[in-house]
Amino acid sequence: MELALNALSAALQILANPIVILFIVIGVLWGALCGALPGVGSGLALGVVVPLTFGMDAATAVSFLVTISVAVAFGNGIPAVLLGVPGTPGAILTAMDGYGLTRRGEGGLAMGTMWFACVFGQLLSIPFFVLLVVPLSTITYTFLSPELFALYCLGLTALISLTGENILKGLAAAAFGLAVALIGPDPVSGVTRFAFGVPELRSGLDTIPAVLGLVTISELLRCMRQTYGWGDLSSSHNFSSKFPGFGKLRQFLRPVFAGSLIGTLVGSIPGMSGTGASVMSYQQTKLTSKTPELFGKGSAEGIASNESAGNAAQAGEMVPTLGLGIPGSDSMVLILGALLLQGFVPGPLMMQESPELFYATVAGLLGGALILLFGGWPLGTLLLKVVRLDRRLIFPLAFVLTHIGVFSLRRSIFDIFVLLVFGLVGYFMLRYGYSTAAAGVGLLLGEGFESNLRQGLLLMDSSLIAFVTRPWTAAILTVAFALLLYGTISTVRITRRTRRAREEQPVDT
Amino acid sequence: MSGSRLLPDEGREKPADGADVELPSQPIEVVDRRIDVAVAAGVGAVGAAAIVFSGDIREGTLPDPLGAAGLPRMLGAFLLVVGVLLIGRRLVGWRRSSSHLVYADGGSGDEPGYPSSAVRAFGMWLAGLGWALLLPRIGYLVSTWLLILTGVVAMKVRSPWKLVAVPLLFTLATWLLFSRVFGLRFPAGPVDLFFEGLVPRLF
Repeated sequence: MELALNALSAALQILANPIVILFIVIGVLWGALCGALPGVGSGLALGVVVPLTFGMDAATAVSFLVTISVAVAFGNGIPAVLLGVPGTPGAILTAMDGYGLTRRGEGGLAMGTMWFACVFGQLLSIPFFVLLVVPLSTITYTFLSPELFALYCLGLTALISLTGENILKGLAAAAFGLAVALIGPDPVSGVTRFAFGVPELRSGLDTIPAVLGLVTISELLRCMRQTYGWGDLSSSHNFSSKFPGFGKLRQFLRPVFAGSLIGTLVGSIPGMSGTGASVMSYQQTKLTSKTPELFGKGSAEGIASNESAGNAAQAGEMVPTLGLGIPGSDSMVLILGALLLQGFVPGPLMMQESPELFYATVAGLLGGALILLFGGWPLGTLLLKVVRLDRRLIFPLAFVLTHIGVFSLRRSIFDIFVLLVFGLVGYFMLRYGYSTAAAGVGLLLGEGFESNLRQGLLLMDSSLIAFVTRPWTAAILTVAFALLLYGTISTVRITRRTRRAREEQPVDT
Repeated sequence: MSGSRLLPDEGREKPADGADVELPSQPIEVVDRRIDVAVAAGVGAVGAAAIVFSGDIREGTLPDPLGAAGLPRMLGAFLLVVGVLLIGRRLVGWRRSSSHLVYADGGSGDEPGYPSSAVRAFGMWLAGLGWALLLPRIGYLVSTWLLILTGVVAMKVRSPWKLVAVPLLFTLATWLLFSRVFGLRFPAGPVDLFFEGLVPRLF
């Protein structure tokens, strides 16, 4: 409890710094702008600016990045409400209800509810986040190498089992990331591996260009396959930007509170993120609603439950990222990558060794939510114009900015080659169902994964039985195995379903 | 490369009040089976390479049950087996249907109803590579201007003022920000040297 209270007071101290406030404001503007662009998620929004955080101090960098992720979640709802285009999978339900209301001339109610649910979802999720992170990080304090290795396994399997549709491809992606992380000096003996005579590889592959290539360049290349404009996606712009009034919004407090709780809890499971949380919250609200028939056709209550859960899941995603050092999504992979730039070593002991990261995260969540509380409505109405921007210009510029950012890190042309090679690999992974987030996690945590496995075996006198039967290790590995089993069953189910769909509907393009 | 989405309309509901709400669809992704097999072969090849090259790793003198080559071999073997399994799965499916298009498992497809081009994506990738090669030779300003121009032309921007103004303004803006404000030293070509003489560094 002391750490929880300390976190809030330390976060307020961080927020007293005008530089931090400035970057939080920039983060809100950038994040909301990116979120409002259909198809641009937090992966791209963070990926483009991660290299720029190199020159910032750790607290400013973390607050800035966390704020971006908060604001992207807010911005994502705008094209969903205005165009019926879900910018991310999590906004599908907002698109159904929000666009339904917009088409009926109640766009103001849809936007207002979205703003209300987003802001209060964020604010309510902060105490839940603090109360979840603190005990988690306290547990890891007593962990030795076998338990830490088990945690790495859990993080990887959870991400793969809950996000990917094909477990084999997910595992292959994670193994690929781990294999790439082996390039360079061996963490135990210091022997160089897989350098192939390339001097730049002797000290190991620089993680940031590789992760940005996998997550950001791959997505940009995929987006640049098509040249349509975002405005083309909708033929109707019957939008009213009249604020619905707080009296109207007050009736959505119950779904917002429930959504925030569900969002934080579900979001804290690596791999679940906002989409799963949104769906669960939506279903729960629909079950208890007096007007369930409106859900999916234009229900403000539906927007409230869906958006609050999706936004609260942003704080939830940071629970395993900070509490266990295991990122649960591509945006969290990038935040951990930025921490590497700041000199921190991602892993389960990260928060115990650097509690300032935790305080800065709370500052980012709180600062972002407060700015959206006071400026979110005018910002939202302003961003309605963003969806008219020319995406044919946006993507090439983001592509160039990522290159410049990576070059700025070490002034290294080799890093640009790494960025591009992994961008191309990531493009094929994205297109063919291999999780780039899993590969990114493998790449980021690879060193800790290997060193804890080997040091743990040394600690247990080379006995694998003694290694895996330590109580915490056995418990965590059992959960990891159960998740793998769940993922395998899901893959089999999906294979059967697509086989049935294939029989019913021939493939024809 | 091909990849598109099928849009099943069954199950779409109309709103109760009769308004014609276009609900988002749940498209089914399809991919080219040949490329899917090639990607799986790539997975297997990475695994095989990890096993082969781990033979060159020198082991340290400290006692170590797994050794420096242990994890690379394990991961290599795993990738090899997964690659073979994925190829096998597609080959078995090939006997049932001769079509090259198959339902993807989790891949990200294109926006339905709009043409897509893999050539454009690869063209941009090559343009990025060109930027990395040209940057040390002709400097930041010209190479970046060329990269942006290539990008907007590839994305079919045809408005003359956008083609002229956007690459020029964005190149100058990023140069001012990174070089003059942040103090980053870009490789300088003749044009860079000219502008460096005009605009002093802020810090």
